[in-house]
Amino acid sequence: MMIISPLVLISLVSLLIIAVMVLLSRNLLFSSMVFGIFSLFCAFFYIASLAVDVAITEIAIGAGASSVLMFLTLLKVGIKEKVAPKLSKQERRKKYITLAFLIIMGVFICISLLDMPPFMDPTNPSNLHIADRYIKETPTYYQIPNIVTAVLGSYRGYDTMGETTVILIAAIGVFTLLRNEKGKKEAIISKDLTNNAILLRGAQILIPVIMLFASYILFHGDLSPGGGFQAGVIFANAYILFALIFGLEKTTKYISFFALQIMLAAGVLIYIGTGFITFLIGGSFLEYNVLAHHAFEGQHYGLFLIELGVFFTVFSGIALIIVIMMEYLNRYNKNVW
Amino acid sequence: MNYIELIIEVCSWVFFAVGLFFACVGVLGYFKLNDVYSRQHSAGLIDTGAVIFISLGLLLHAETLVVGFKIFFLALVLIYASLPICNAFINACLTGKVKNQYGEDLKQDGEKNDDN
Repeated sequence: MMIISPLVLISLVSLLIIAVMVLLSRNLLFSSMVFGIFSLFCAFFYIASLAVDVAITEIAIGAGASSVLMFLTLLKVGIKEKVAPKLSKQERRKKYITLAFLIIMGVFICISLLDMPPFMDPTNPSNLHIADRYIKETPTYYQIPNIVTAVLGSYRGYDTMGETTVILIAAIGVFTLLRNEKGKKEAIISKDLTNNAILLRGAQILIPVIMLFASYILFHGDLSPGGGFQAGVIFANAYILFALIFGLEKTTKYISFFALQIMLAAGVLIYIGTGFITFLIGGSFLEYNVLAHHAFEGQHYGLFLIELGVFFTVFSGIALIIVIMMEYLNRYNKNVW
Repeated sequence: MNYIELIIEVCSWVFFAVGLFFACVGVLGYFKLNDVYSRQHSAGLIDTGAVIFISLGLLLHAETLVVGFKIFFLALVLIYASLPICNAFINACLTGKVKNQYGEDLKQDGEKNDDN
């Protein structure tokens, strides 16, 4: 019998309570705020499971960027949830059939949970399959202290390339849906919160610290938890904070839409380019050993390059999505931001 | 036990007690007070009093300089992050015309609430 740590238990129970709160609430603003808290407790859970990388990402994306995204969406759609229209008898019967089906499925899922291996047990089949090999091989073959980075970059470089491309595609999707070159000039001129001295000073102190932390996570990624993805997300949060407080005009003066687009594509290019360079030197695709005279050094160079690529794509992707949303709102809601 | 160690230990526990007092008062006020402004005030007590005193107590327990610096930095970030958030929250309530417990609108028309 294994012991579940109290932090895990507390976070899991809170997650359940928060999920019920979100379901029961009819106020969308409340729901989206509570979703941020949900992400916070998710991060507690990840930290208790010793997955600090995932916790950093969850905090930065779930509690930071996606909350801002939800609030911006609420500015467009309104806070109140629409009341469902009265259903006819036939529709109601259909709904009851669906409900019964869902309950039966839920019971089956609960039954199948009994066959699952114990929670957070190191002797689970999933932990015995290949994780053992990662833990044994990484210090001798790659000499990278942080095994997670080695798994992401060295063992599963193709997967990470795919993930980076997914972010590129998501940002391109938002870009093509919401961006409109017409009326660009009016949309950029917007309000800001810089007349509030306390917010201004707080942002002036916090934003450089957040950026410094992001670069630390990027450059220290193969030694301590973190890497390109986490660094990009944190840097994007600094950018979003700047955009929320100083307004869209100043933000796009420092890092413009065009620069964000270039970075978005350049990140994926750096990643795939690293693969092609190793290809040209004589290794296989994304085999970093050939990048330097010594295989370990080559691993470090290659990992740094691909993490730089991931950083650029993730940062500019998330920043671009938020900034385009803000510009869209400015265009249709008459300068809310 | 050395006298200096004893003094440091006692001091740190006094700091912990004061910080816990602020935290308890803040939580109690958060549940007992009637409107959003006074509740935010008691939440701000936790953000300042509790954070400052508990991190002071932890600083006295820090064994190396690096750990002490990390605690100091953490407290600084907490204070600088949460106090502007309190301010922004109250400003949002004022802009959204949330009434206080006596049913008064705190923001008069034409008044600029968010200047220095």
